[in-house]
Amino acid sequence: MSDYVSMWKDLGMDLENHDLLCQVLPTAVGDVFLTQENRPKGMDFWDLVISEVHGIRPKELIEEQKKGRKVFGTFCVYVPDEVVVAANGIVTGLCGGSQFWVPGGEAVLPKSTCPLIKASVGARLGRTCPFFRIADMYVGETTCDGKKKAYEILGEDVPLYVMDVPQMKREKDILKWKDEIAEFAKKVEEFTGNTITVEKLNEAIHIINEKRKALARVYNCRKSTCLPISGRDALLMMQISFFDDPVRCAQMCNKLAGELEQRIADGVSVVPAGTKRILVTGTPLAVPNWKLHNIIETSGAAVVCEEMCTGTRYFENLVDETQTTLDGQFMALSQRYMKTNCACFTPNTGRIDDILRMVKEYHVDGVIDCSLKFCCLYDTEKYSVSRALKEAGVPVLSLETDYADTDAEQLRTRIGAFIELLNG
Amino acid sequence: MDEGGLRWYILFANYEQGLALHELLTDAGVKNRIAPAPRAIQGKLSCGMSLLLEPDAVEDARRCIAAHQAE
Repeated sequence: MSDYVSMWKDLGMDLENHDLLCQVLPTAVGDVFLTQENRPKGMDFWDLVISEVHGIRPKELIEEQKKGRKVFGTFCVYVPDEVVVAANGIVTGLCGGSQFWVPGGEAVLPKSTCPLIKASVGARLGRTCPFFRIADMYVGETTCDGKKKAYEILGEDVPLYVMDVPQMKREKDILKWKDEIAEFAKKVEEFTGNTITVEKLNEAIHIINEKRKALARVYNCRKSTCLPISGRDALLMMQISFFDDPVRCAQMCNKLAGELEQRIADGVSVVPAGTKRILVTGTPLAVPNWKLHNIIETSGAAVVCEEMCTGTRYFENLVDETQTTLDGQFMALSQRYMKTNCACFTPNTGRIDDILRMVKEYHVDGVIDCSLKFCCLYDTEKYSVSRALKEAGVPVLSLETDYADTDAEQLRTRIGAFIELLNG
Repeated sequence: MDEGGLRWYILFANYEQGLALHELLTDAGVKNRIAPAPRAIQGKLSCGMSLLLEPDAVEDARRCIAAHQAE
């Protein structure tokens, strides 16, 4: 019998509270995913993972730890997975996406902190997520003020290494990030006891590049006017890719992409012709945050692209695989990662260029720019995003929300009105 | 999948069994979906994964399970 209770107990989890969290998952998954018709067969894999989200993968991680491997928990797409993989480590994304964890975070953080940060801290301190208990070391970064200070608190409970992300993207900042990556590599070597060689780092870069290409291949299918997969399903695939084994992730995404490409060839769409196509941009949507996608897609539109960390920023741009020295490889990593256009940088006009490009590539009818409450960076950037989209003649709706369901009906009203506007 | 609020699940000791039956049922044309098992029985009676059936597929599922001598 697959009974994970003893595993959770050994991890020191609060079983009673964890059980309360587990109770809501079947209903949430049912409402968001199982109400859809004609889902790709390939989604079976992600349905399985989410059904056993606190079981299968945590058990795999623990088995790997028994072999001496170290698990690194990360919170940002700027942290180079390749460095950890090169040292035979395992990366697991840890951003919290559930309201369940927020009160635990609010016990130590101001209420006026973004829910993603509060949920991440709450998941750790409340001992209600096996991933947060399993990770041997957390890797933080100085992307936003909220995270910087939250890591100080988290770091009292778990080994935590913070990478200093630059604020700007000048040549000297790319060099600075290269040096940060080199320092991080030293830390990973020391923590794992494994040396990172040119060959191992090259192999790691290749593995992560293959994962990026596989994710990109699925997204490419969403550019088709015959839409073979829903935004909800694509989001689930993307969210799980943050903590799944990268080789398996690439394999399953390529399998899904093959099915989607065939659907396009056969004219199989998950939405009726004429359904309005939405690009969602803004702050990341960590698992199990499906609220926005669910509201959009049950209001008569389809989400065809996510310009965010849990979207195109995760896989766009590959790392150069031709470097033959560690210094060259670290530079290649820096050059790739510094192309990620997050609002923590100034200026961030690259993000606007990306959004406008994706509007064309994905045949988008309207953009929804949504930020988490108290995220000053993305909230402020809405002004520039909106202005650029209006100048380009692209309808845009700016929203702010959190993880609770209390504003769901208000959001539905606003999104519904926006979709009606698109429908003319 | 609902009939008057009733949902039909097939439960498993582990996810490997669940996946195996999912393939058998799908190949036999019996509509079923991978779904989280209701929390109340997880751990005690079932792993996290279950198969959700259409009400009118329950008998076909039973026949398929019997035909493949699945337990």
